[in-house]
Amino acid sequence: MSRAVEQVGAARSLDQLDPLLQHRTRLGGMVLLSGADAMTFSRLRELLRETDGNLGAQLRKLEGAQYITVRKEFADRKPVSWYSITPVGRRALKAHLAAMESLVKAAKV
Amino acid sequence: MTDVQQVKDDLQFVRQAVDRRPPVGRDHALRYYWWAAYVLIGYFLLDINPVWGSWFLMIAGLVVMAVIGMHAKRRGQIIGEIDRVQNRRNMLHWAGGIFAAVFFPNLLAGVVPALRGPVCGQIEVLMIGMVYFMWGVHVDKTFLWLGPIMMLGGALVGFVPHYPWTWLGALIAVGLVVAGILVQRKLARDLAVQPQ
Repeated sequence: MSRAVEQVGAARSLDQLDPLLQHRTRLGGMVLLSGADAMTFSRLRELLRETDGNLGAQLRKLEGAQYITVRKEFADRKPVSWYSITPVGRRALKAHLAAMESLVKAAKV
Repeated sequence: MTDVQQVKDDLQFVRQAVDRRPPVGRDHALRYYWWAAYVLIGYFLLDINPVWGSWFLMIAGLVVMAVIGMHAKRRGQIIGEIDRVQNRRNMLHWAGGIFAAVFFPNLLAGVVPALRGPVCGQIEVLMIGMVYFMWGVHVDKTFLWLGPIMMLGGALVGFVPHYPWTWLGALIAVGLVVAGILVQRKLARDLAVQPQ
């Protein structure tokens, strides 16, 4: 494969990356949510090792794009937010991961 | 290429987050201790009174399954994670596997007289051993050796003169307790070396 073709392949993969999922916290959150029915804010914070403020801001962006949904309930009088990935989010994640894979492969060749 | 390096860094970050999450089914050892107690009592009863033993194994099996299910649900609420698909898969493995292991030998015994009585029980144990082994293949590696031990015990139970089922039950119970301890140790080790 010539260098020019490699560069075209890499550029195409870059174009296919979802801008919303190019942030590692949002990507990590989506990957974790894709492996479970629902996770609480605390669980995501614990697994991603993020601060409340940053995680909350990133999750709101995902929620705004309808990639995830949030359900709020009370447990022992404390508010608990349960997050789930939506079908739209799952499709976006799949496409983004495929583009990432192609990008890494193109760079390896 | 900085973009590729960025992608690699992001993937590493995601991988670390995923690695912090223990696989469902290996996240707590309590279920193994419940089953150890169930097997110990049930198999002992088979030697004392086979009818009581059979009833105990059937009813207590459902009770233990319900208790473990409730515990798993409660645990999901505490750790903040619900995975119904995986829980359903686990339940289908155990409930479906053990149902098949009990139902089909009894069905066959209805047609083949030679399979009636203790032989039917031995075939059930062999098949349950296979269900254990498959759990080892898919979820918890400890069961890779516990399954074959159970199958071997099921085959040899006819050669033990006194309390054969009690011995077999004790062997399986010890195996389950060891499996539980190993799961607990693995969890503690994973927590200690979690990537920062």
